[in-house]
Amino acid sequence: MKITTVAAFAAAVLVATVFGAPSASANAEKDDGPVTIKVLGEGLTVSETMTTLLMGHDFPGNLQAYYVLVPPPGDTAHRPQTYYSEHVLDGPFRPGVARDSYGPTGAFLEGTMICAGWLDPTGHAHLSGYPCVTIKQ
Amino acid sequence: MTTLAHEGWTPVTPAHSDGEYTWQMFADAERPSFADVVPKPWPVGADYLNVFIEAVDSAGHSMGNGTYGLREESQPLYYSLSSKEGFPQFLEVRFIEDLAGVTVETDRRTIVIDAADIEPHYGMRFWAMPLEDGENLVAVTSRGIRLEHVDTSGIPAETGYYPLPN
Repeated sequence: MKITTVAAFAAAVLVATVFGAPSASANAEKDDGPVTIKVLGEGLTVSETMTTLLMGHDFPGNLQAYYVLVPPPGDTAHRPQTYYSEHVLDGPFRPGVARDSYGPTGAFLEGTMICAGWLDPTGHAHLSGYPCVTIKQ
Repeated sequence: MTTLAHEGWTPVTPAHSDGEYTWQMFADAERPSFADVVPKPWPVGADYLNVFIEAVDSAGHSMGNGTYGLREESQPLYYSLSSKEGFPQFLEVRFIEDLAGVTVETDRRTIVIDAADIEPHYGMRFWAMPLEDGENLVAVTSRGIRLEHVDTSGIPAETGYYPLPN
């Protein structure tokens, strides 16, 4: 089931209120050029990860978000992994903002990095911007 | 103070403090194995430089946000914004070392960054500062380059494409 941003925020606030959780939170955001990534959650648990791409001009291709999970420093047992959103947005597009809200969720080890980028599955264009947030208490 | 320093990253700015928060930028051209996980092809002339900011508050809470590191020739001037609940929004700027300086415009003030004050690393200079509560970035400019900031925070949370108003 997909929950909305508002619901995720509300759930996080509720947990903090009821259980007296520390003010630290997984909620973080990063803008890198035209791409943003936002994670919502509590502590080391991420309930939602989303990304946006600002497209400043007409664009003939399609758009698909991908996410990269990078293990924390010192974790040599795991390698960075890429996850492609199952949702491809079909172009052509006029200037606007693409949004994908299907990034990785769950409980992560402290120091795990979640990054987001966008690609054109038709292969016509390179899309810049790879913001990352580090999951920390 | 920071975890990245202990992990062998290169500090690319001194540690700055405003009394409440301490922040510093780091870069690393080696890790992680970017080429394995990011879709190809890379743009011609691109290389890899992972740039992060770390900030610590007076209670010892930290935040670390950055980029996954594709540095493109078409980006002599570049900026990022980082935020985490409980921290101010940090603006990070990087620019090639032969630019004489950078001007940051917000809706409250203009900040002039003199390149001569900043030691270069990896062929670039790096600079960061926290924005005030409610302060919004307008643009980052240098020698004919003007990067206008467009706020996309207001678009709906649902996956989709949202054309900008004409």
